[in-house]
Amino acid sequence: MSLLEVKDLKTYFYTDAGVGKAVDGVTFSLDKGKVLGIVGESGCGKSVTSLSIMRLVDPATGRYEGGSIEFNGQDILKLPEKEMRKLRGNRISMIFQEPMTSLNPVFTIGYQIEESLILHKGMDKKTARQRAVELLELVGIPEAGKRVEEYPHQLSGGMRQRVMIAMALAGDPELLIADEPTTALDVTIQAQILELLKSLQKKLGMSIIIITHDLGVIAEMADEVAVMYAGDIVEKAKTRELFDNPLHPYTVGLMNSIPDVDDEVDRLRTLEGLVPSLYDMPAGCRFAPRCQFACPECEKSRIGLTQLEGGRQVRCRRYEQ
Amino acid sequence: MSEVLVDVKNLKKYFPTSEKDKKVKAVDDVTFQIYKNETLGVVGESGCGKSTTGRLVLNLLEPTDGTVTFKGQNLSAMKKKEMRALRRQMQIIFQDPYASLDPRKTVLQILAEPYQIHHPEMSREEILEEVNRLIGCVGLRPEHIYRYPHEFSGGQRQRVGIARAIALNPEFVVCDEPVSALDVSIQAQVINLLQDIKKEFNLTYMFISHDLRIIKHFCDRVMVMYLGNIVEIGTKEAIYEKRRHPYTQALLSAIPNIKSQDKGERILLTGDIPSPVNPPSGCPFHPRCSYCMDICKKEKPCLKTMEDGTRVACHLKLE
Repeated sequence: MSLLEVKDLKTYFYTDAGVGKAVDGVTFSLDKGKVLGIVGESGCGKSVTSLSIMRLVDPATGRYEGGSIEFNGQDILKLPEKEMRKLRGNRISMIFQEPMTSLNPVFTIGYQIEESLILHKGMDKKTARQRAVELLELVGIPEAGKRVEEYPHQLSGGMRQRVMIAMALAGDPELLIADEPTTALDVTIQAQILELLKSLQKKLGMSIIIITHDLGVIAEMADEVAVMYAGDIVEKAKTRELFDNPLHPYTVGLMNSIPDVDDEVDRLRTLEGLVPSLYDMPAGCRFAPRCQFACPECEKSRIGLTQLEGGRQVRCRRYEQ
Repeated sequence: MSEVLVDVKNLKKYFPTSEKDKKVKAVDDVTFQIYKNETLGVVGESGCGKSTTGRLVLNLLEPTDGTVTFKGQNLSAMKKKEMRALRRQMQIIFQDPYASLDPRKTVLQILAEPYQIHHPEMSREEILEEVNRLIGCVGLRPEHIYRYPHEFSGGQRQRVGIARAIALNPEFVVCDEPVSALDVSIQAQVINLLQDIKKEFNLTYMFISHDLRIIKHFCDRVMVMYLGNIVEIGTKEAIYEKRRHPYTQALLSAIPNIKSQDKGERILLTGDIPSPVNPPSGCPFHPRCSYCMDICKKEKPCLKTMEDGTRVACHLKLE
């Protein structure tokens, strides 16, 4: 049964420059205990998708213009803010890219973990402290009993990200959204954090959405992948299938842009051109201006997702029957 | 091997801290050469001293000890005026094209500056002609020269940074994480551009990056750094295939593999990178090394030359 069902989600931003269609009709679902990867480049809408699920899109400029996000069968876009607060940071929680800016520098890490335990779980201070130390141990922080008194600046980048994960786990979430969790970290530390997330996912049985620009992170973590481009999902497949046989020209281009350690080429094959502006999207296929297979047909109207065997989906005219 | 262009000997750079007797040992005694027309990749994690080394090599920072010799001239012994003349031949491309271009200048003004400084005899028309030639070399259009940096995308901005670096026909360019701030599809465009320019202008590169995939694709020789030290330096083939040093092994096994199912044995390092203010005794890598022996805690290993010319700093018996 699916834990999360996102249907035709549209999140638009209203600014002086016009209407930015950051997420424009995104549909996907996530089963219990599974890991979904969302991959794409800057501005493709992957972070806005995750913020929409948390309902953290800035109400001053951003609006949910359509669609639904069902979490355990309940549409969270329709929940009153009070109800949403009970979900957020509790049953759905999130870790961000930059642990230093997401931790409060003037409080100890213990205080910051306890805050959510006291708020969401109704624990008293003493029990919350015990649980905070347990959580720090769970995420592999040595001498957790001592570290709980430390401030964020006393920890390394990798340790801070572990603290963020401990905070996210405080509410025993059913869904953890990890938005570029290792982008700010060094490779050897990245390997540690990915390993930790994998083992926690198995141990706690939660579902994870991992958002990244790094196909390598997807390959390590995800059961299924959604590739996003300019506010759309352009391809969705099981991770292995996607890497073995990418279908959408954008996915192929993305994979060719990364040098392969085992297979050397003299020259990287590149995707020419730039991502279209949010305020000035092509009328037809959004990838058409950069696509080597583009024909006049592609530019006429938007392309739908074609369902292929095994639940695979691709948004490209070449696969339409 | 061809002629040595940059010769670095026992180079050290210590930065002061707020405590008087404590120093950040950013670069701690490194010796290496860069040969003409090669690309030397420098790889390592944050704080390993790779960027500081790049700046020392260009004499943008003054070394605490040791020497950098460029085409036979010792840089630290040079007078300011001589150094300035030499700077034409050695340039740098920075990581962040947002921070390294003056937001209040147009591309024309940014690119005209090197000529105004080093070739004051050139007329405005001559400079304009040169700038137009440059902009073509890096794949931008002539109308772009009247724009300001904020009007460009990240990839285009990095192209302006590259144009500025090659303006005076240098021989040697330090590329300090030139594509790290860019999206993958744009990274590939910039990497290809750097490759084309190298061929066209006969350049020698020192290419600093934390991305082992890009280093493998782009470089001829590779130098692996850890906590201000060189742990291994050799040809790309020797580094990536032999993987002699335990740190090189861990670093290479940490690259997520996208194309093959077989992920191999992942070597997970425990712990964090120690602080360069208070580096471990003996081998700087010993607290995280799974092969650590008694001697590693006491004695810092020197670089030993292997049969294929690779130099490795490790107490293990390696071949």
